[in-house]
Amino acid sequence: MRLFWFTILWALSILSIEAQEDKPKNWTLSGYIKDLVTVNFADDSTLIDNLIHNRLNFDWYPNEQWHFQLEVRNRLFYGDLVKAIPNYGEFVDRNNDYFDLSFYGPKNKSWLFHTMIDRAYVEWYNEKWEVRAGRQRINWGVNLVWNPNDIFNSYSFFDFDYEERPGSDALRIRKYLGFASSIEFAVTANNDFDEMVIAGMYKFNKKGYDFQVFTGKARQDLTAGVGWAGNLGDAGFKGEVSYFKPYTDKDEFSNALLASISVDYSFESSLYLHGSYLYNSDGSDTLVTAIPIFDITQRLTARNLSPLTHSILVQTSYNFHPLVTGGLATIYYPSTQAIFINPTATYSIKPNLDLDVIGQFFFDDYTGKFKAQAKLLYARLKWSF
Amino acid sequence: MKWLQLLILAILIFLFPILIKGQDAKEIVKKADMKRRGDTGKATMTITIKRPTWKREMELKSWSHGTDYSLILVTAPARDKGTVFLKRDKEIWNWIPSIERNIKLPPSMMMQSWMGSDFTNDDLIKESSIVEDYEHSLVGDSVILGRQVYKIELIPKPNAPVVWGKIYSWIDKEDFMELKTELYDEDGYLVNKIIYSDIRELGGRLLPAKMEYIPVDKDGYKTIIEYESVAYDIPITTDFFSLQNMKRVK
Repeated sequence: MRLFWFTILWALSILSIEAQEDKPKNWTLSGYIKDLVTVNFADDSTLIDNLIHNRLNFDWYPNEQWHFQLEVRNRLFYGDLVKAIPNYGEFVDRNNDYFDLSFYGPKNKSWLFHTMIDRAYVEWYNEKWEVRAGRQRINWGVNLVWNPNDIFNSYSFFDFDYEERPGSDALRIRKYLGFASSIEFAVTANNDFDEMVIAGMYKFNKKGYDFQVFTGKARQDLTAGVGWAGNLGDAGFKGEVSYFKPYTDKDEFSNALLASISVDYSFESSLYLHGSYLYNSDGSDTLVTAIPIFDITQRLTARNLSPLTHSILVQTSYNFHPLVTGGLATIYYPSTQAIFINPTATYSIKPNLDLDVIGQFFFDDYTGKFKAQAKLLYARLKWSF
Repeated sequence: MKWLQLLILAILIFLFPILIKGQDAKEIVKKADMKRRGDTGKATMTITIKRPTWKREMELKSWSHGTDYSLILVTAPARDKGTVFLKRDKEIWNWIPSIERNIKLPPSMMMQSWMGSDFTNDDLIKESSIVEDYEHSLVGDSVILGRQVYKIELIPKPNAPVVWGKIYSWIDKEDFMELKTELYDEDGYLVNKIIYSDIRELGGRLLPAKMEYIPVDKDGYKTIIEYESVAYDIPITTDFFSLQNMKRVK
């Protein structure tokens, strides 16, 4: 049973308790339990699904040089969509991982249990060096929504219920050169060289800006890029540019330049404004599927962050009450008639209990007339511990 | 992110309190000021926002070096635990442990308050100029918490860019700590009160560990800062305030 690491996790926590009776605690266990209700207004019916979601984060610091981290994601799905999609487990268990640390079952029932370890690494560090091996998140993005520099593990803006985002099975070596300066090298584990990501990055800070440059190979592309995060007056100003050049099948894949740029500003009244633009030279000007944004049959990588050439995001949020925040994000695809509308509201019920109400609506004219292709409403309760 | 301004304020209040000048008041206030001042510091504190129908608490640890460098680690509530803020002069970074990522924050983020806290942006910005912008005078004596105190009046100088019309500050005669502050608007109405209590040894000095900021006309509203522990002049350099340390502080 691959569930054995559950036992390991709990055993580790107990061992730590036993071993550390008088000393300060050198481990932490935290996480949350969420319940997400999804209402999907399809053309001919309304599908209702429920997801109970638990996350456990375990950190252990045996001394000042070693750190072990293990994080587990357990989910229980049930409802109309689970019933409607044959082998929903396979659909949910899609990942790019080298080590198989996930489990799901049963098959073809109206409910499904899925569990996976999405962080499991050991880290050695001192003042200057950091070496990390195992499943980890190598986060090279500096921008807020679209990250062409995030070549190891891309995430989708639409997958809002996965805040932690996927990890990679990798080795990462980093040397710190200054307060915001470092040089690092990372390589992912894979039997197939063409699926590996091998790259190095240099980060530095100059005149109030964080800069980064990288080069390497990302799956079947040679790649290089730059990123920055700074400010224009009191507004944040961030950007990322990456170039991908395939070294294998040049007929199937073409060169791609991806660039994202963003500006955000926060008013004293708590009103927050954010604008972002993404350019993808390999994107198309027209839609190739009805709902491109929810198309997860294709693996999301840094080179296909959007299927369209131009994407524009406008986001705003406001605290209507100290405990209630409302937000609205809109993504517009100017080359075609397509728009994504994403209203959100968060209410802090208790110090560690939050209620979110979220809408995802996608409109386009793929079927000949401009209409809503996807209408989804979510209600989520989250208790953190 | 909205509470960053408050957190920084909480640190600055401790290390760099109001420095009041005046003929007689000057020496008194200078002593009170020196008592709380350190080149570097570390503090563990709780910030509480109280409202008639709800209450929220945040626990944090902070490290600071002068006014330009600070590192803040949120230790509670569980939802925000492990979140870190680093400020180096005008640059601010936010470490989000769940996604293992550092986000550089726009300077405008500093202007927001946390959960509608009773502190305003003016408290942070104007307090630093209170030395230059007010005339100070000793106006009386009183007793607070069984201690003899001086009452000092602060009147803004003509054309000074300040929000308050008048400030009264009560300072302990023996141990030189501020025990009460009253902030008046330009029409002479009392707007906010600051009450200090829980006097005890903090970082080897006798100081009030609890500070309550009370808007006078709002019943049941209060912002409380409580210091659990403070250490002054700790051996850290500006190198401590780095992106890698944001991930390491515990």
